[in-house]
Amino acid sequence: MQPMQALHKAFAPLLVGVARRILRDSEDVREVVQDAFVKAWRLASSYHPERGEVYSWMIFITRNQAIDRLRRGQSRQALLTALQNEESDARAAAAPDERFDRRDFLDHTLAHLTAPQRQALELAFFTGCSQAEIATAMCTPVGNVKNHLRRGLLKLRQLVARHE
Amino acid sequence: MNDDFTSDALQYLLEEMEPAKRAAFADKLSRDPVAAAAFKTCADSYARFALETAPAVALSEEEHHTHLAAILAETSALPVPTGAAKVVRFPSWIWPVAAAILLLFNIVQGVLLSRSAKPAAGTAVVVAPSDPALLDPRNDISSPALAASKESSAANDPDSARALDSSANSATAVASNSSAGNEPGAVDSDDTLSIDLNRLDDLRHEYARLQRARDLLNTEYNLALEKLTRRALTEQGVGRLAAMELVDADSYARGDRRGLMNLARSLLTEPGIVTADSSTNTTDQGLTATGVGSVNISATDPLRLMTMTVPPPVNPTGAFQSATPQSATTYAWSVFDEKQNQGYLNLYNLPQVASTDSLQLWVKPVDSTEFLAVGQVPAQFYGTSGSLHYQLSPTTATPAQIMVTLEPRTETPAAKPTGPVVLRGP
Repeated sequence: MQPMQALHKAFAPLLVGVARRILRDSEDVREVVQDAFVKAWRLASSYHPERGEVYSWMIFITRNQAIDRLRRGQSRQALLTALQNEESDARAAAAPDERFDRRDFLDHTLAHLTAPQRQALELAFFTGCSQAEIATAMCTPVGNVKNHLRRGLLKLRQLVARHE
Repeated sequence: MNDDFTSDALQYLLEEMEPAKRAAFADKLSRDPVAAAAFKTCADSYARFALETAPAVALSEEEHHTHLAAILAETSALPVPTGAAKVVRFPSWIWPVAAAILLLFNIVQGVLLSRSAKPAAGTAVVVAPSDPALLDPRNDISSPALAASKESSAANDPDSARALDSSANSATAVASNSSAGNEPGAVDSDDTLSIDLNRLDDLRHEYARLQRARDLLNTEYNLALEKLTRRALTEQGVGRLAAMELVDADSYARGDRRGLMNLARSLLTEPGIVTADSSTNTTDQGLTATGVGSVNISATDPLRLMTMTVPPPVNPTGAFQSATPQSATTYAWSVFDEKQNQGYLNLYNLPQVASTDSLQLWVKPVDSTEFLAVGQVPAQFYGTSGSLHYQLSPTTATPAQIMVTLEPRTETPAAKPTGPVVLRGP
């Protein structure tokens, strides 16, 4: 099997999932994933194993490609509005974690994150929002957002390290 | 690792860091293994979080192949970054040999192109927009003379016309191909070399085609220039009347003239040229006074009679008795108005003509070596005298010679005079 075939077979489903979470248009998703593979191929020499696994390197390439496309597109504001509505719905719910718990794919390790931490990490990763924008979407001060992001990521690191 | 490092790592991963800070952070990662390890846990854990938040999407075989084909199409030209692919290894001596071949190729190409750019004697070659040869007005495609030539070429040689149309593009292509061929490293494989050789061959053919078109253009340009020069010389005095005497063929051969020019000599500003007043139709007045039959004919429609006045022929010699001898000999005189491009021809004692024949009027413009058919002398003038007025097209120069010949009567006029000359002058 050629290297690209192997790479594609291993990572394409993961990357399509990530891109689809960021972009709603399936054509955009397809193009972003393709661009990510091409970019990874071209930047292969810049990959440093000591800084991350291949899958995380590929995921961040895909994420950044998708966010670039999202920023170029018209749908960002609509997405923000949708997220704000989603937040309002979540606050109206009895338990903040329920909306995440409803997702079948949620790994048990993520249960250790608080809802704001998850939300801040999700918004940062999947929307490309700045911390101020995340603060607006979460109806919380920017300082809190920074704290959620930092503490959420620290917790993730601990969980992953413990798992490994 | 402290909280600041985690924040920086997050910003670095999400590409939200300022370029300078990003470079400094990357430098820190490359120098500090502990920082790199901490960063690795950040990246991997956040990536895992993303994967668990956004589940993988299973792709069908078809989707997989479609995506892969598109990716391979873009990456096929790129070098394979892993050692998995089979690498063809050439012996070490192949590279100096290849370099020598490429050098030789470049030299040959350079020599050929320099020959292509060298103009032949008295001509210029269109090679590129920046070529100084383009300053030569002969190569100015936009000039009217060449535009006319181009049209003429299109009529005579469609291939040359196509060459003209493509010359600019081809010239640019020659230039660009030439520069590409001289670029170091532009040819880096046998396939490229083969392609370049084919291109060189194509360029050689294209150059030959352009040369043919250029030669044709130069020839036509020279003809047009010659014509324009003659025209300019003859049209120095616009609005003059050129007077001309016509005699029969024998007299013409002997150089005998009847002295009709004495009539106008008092008015001549220079030999053969009568000063004209544009508001006065001198000839018409003279014809009316003498009562000679008068007909208008036009070179653009030579055989159609425009008007005809005073048909009964009257011997006109009385009007010119003081200047012209009376005789039954066929003769004529003509005045041509250069301003209106109209000629007035007075014909005397024309011979009788059989019903199967006709008298044809011809003029040879000053810028031409051929007689042009003007029209048919009206049949009512045969055996007697008359005058006619003919109109030449605006592009026809002043007649240098006029001739009347006996031709078979046909529906369409002959292109060239073939019959015996009845009158010719001056």
